Amino acid sequence: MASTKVSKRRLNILTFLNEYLEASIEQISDVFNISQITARRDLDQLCDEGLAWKVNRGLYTTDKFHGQSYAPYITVEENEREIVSLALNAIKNRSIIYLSKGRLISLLSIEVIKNRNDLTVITPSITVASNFRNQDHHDVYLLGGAIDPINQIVTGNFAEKMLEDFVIDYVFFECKALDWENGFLLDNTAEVSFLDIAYERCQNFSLLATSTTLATEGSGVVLSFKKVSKIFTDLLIDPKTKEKFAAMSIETIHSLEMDPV
Amino acid sequence: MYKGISLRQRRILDILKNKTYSSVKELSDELYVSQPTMRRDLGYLSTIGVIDRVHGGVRIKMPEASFFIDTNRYYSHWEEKARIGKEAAKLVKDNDVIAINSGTTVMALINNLWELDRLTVVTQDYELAGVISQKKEFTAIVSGGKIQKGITGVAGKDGINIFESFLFDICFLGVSSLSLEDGLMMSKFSHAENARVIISRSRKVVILADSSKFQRRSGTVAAPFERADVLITDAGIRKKPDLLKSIEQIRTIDMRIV
Repeated sequence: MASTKVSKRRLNILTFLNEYLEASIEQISDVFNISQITARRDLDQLCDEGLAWKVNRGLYTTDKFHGQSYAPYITVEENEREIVSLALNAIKNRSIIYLSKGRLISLLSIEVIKNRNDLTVITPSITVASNFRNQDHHDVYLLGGAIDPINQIVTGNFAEKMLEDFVIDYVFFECKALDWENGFLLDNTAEVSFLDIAYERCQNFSLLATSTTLATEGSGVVLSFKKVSKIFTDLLIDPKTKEKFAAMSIETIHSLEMDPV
Repeated sequence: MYKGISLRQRRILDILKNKTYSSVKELSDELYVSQPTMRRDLGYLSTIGVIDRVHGGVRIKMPEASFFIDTNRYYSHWEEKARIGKEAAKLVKDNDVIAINSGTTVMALINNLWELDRLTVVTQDYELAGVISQKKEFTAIVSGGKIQKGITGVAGKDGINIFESFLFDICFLGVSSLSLEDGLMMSKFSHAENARVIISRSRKVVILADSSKFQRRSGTVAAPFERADVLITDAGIRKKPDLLKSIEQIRTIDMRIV
């Protein structure tokens, strides 16, 4: 008798989890009027049965790929995955990193949550900050100021002043195109002025860019080639482009070509 | 009881966000549900005002929908909070500069502000700021600082500096609990610090609290109870007649029960 009641409650919990994106032990105990210990036991059992997953400490979901729905990216291209994992390898635990904005940077932040510990992360991006919402193994600082609605980053003096308080180990950013005369091209001045401030404290600048981006010439706000030490990209990068970067002492990092079978 | 939007309803919004328009059939195919089920979901979404039904399909309404897309939150006491938010929105005028702290109660306020022409909002809640910034006539400012687990409010001295540099027409504060004896309480020390600064820089202080918040609980005191100019709560407070009477005796507080 008792066991049927328990399994019925677990079924209800499962239905609840299905309806909502995620739920914590406290919420389940609140909704079903059971103690937190019982809630945890029920949730853990659902996990054991393969019906639910633990997102991270205390949060449960029935969506197996919930970890990836941290950010609204439905499909991630193979080359993007590659670039992000190479960049991740360059980050050591307990370092201080600056994450600018953009799709690859946001993906990198998700990998950082899953695979690294005790980082200090500084970002002007609302999207990146949001990704870190449900974790507590990294210290994450969002700069403050008025929000640029298109790029979803903060802008202005306050943010700049706040950034000056940090000494940074690695800076990661993205560009939208480049101009061989001038440098990498970004799409807004706020982002470039943050990078200029960060450069005064940190000379370890890494660019994340697909080979397509690196083959695009265009217009935008310039960030000098001189400031950048590494580029993480995919293996379709034009060897000539790579040589040009090498001549400017920028290291190009991509995965090795597959051996012909 | 618990009404926000479900996971599937959120997925519908995600799909619509990329396409703007979609037919009922397309949506039901994509999410593997029958058309009647899909119609029920769409009916709910149009009731809460985030989509428009057009011939043969639906169209997403922005920025109303971004409230749900960009903040995947869980709401307890959703209906009460929605009513409180609607009442609070009546206090905001065009061109106001307002301060908002963070939390689901103040979140509900935002979805009632889209009708205004111009507004400046300063908040410690970054998701909220992101949503507000999507109406181009609005200025959204987020106070900087450290991100705390499970809370979308940031905290720290930099945030305090930002709040201090403003003078607000009105501020809206959600609290973790409140009582006549202890005052307005915040669960985090840093959030109480922010609240104190916000209150000191505001011409009018509006406290948003559903009736479950009226209890004595540990926390950090942000301000004495009497510091509130307006208190908006739900009808649940009528179940505590003694409390209601004591609050009504405080002449300076304009209490609104929704």
